[in-house]
Amino acid sequence: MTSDEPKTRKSLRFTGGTPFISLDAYDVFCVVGCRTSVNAANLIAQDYSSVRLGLPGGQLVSQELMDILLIDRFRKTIAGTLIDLLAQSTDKPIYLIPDPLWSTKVFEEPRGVIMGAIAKSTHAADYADWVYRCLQSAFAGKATVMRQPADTIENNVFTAQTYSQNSIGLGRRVVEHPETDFVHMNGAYGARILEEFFATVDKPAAL
Amino acid sequence: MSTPYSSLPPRNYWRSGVAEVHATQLADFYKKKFPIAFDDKIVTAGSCFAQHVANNLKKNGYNILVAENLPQWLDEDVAKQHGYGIYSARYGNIYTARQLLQLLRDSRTGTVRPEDVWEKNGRFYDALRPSVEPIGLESADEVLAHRKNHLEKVAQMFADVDVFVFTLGLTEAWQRLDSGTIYPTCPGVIAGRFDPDVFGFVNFNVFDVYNDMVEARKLLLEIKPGLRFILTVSPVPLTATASDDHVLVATTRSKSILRSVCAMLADEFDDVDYFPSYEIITAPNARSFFYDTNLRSVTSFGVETVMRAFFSEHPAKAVTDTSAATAPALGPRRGGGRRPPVASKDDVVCEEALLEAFGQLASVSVLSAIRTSRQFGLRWIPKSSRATARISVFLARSAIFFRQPSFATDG
Repeated sequence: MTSDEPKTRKSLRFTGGTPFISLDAYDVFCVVGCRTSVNAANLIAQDYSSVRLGLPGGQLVSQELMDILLIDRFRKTIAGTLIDLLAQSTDKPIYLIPDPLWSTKVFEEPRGVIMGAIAKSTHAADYADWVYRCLQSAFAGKATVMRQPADTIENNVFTAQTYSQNSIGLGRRVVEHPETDFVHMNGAYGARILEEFFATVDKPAAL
Repeated sequence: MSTPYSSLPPRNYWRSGVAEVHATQLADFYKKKFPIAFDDKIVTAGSCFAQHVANNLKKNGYNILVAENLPQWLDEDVAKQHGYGIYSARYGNIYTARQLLQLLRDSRTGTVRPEDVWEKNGRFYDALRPSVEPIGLESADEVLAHRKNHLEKVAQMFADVDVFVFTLGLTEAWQRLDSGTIYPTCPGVIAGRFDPDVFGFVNFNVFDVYNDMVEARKLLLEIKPGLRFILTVSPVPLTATASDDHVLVATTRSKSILRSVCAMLADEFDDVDYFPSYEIITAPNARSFFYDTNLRSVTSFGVETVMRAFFSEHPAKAVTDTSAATAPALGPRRGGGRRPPVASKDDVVCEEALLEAFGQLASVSVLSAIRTSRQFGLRWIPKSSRATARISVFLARSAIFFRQPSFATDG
């Protein structure tokens, strides 16, 4: 399996050593991505709101539609497409490790306005649950969705700020992310996720 | 001796204008009253048939104003099931002139009425557009909040419109007796409960429809001076009538009134044009050719023929979606053959068609069971008929639950 996109092929070479994914070479597939918070709630909330979110302006949509929008958004990410392709091509277990929720640092960004409103809304109480539930619906029967560990989440909406301090980009060159970066997490977060992942794969896959 | 008829063109004579002309070849049929520019902002509304008009205008490069929409990346069918992408805003089908007037007044004042929330199985529906939330909302308050938000969008939309295309569909409606509020569906069909002490049947006459349309025009012109109107009458017969008349008589009454009002308005006001889609579909030379086998739904071929007449006067822009814009080769159908298919990709969303389910139940099962029992002097329904009745009830419920829009276009 490979990608028709040169950038992705390059990325595959970097992360997997080859420009393609050998379906025979692995027992388990782990897809990391889905841009949970970037593409999902925040993007949707720029134009839409639900009664529970209570965001000013924008169109009011039902919770059912918010779910549909979020699920659809997840499915259309690169990670979503990859999961689809893998699920069509192999019976081996597939896991999705979703991108983390944004860090509370987001408040230093213009986008923090929307996230702040979400955090203050009645939706906040189950925001992380909602994201997880929609991820599960998006990939039901295809992949096991790893839940972001509860101890990394703050106020049910954000990743605790400690996990986004001193994060670095592991591209061809190691790059330090700016102090205000609220999307990328640090090594401590990665370690916590790996710990959770191995604990999960030890259990029978529950698709 | 010369008379005013001596120099009339062939189109003015029934024989040369209709009887000897194929239904798809009607010539010189519609003359526009005013042009529509491609950058004119158009709002569409009306009964189910109006959805075809909206779809085709959009596909042919006209600028349909969209006040409520979902992201383009979302599946079109999902959007449609939730009332998006059907009309300029998410008001659902507007079957009667009174319903239009009511929407205009409500949007102007931001009026929402708690009694217009209907419940079904613990979910809540906006009685004024019950089909836009297929599974309803969580609470009555949520419905009211949604309605308020919707009315704001509608008000903004009408402040910006240049051309309003409205298809008149029905004269029959259900109203709340205390407030006079008109609903697009009978209570109990999609949600709510029918209570004869609360709701009543109303069948508008020509004066009612005319006055409502005049008032609607006045309100719209106050909001947007210079607005122009294109009116059409839906050629789709009534699914069912709640009047005492036979459904055919009721349909003729309804359509005649609507057509008359269009003529009155178009004669009276320079800014009102009438587009004769009704005549194209129902013309005797069509011999019901444009109707599907149920003699109600208009086939996609019929819609295309109608729109071709429209675009002959309001030319289509160069389009990219050839499948939608290209009309099939026209001309008499030789050797019979199957009817052209009913519009599929552009299936319309139609609450009124849900009444069909009751019709099937009533005509096939229950009534036959009753007739059988009467015929044989029985006071009970025979077991076999009871079984049929139960199956039909199930089918009816399924139809309502799933709301299959493929039933037909209505009103």
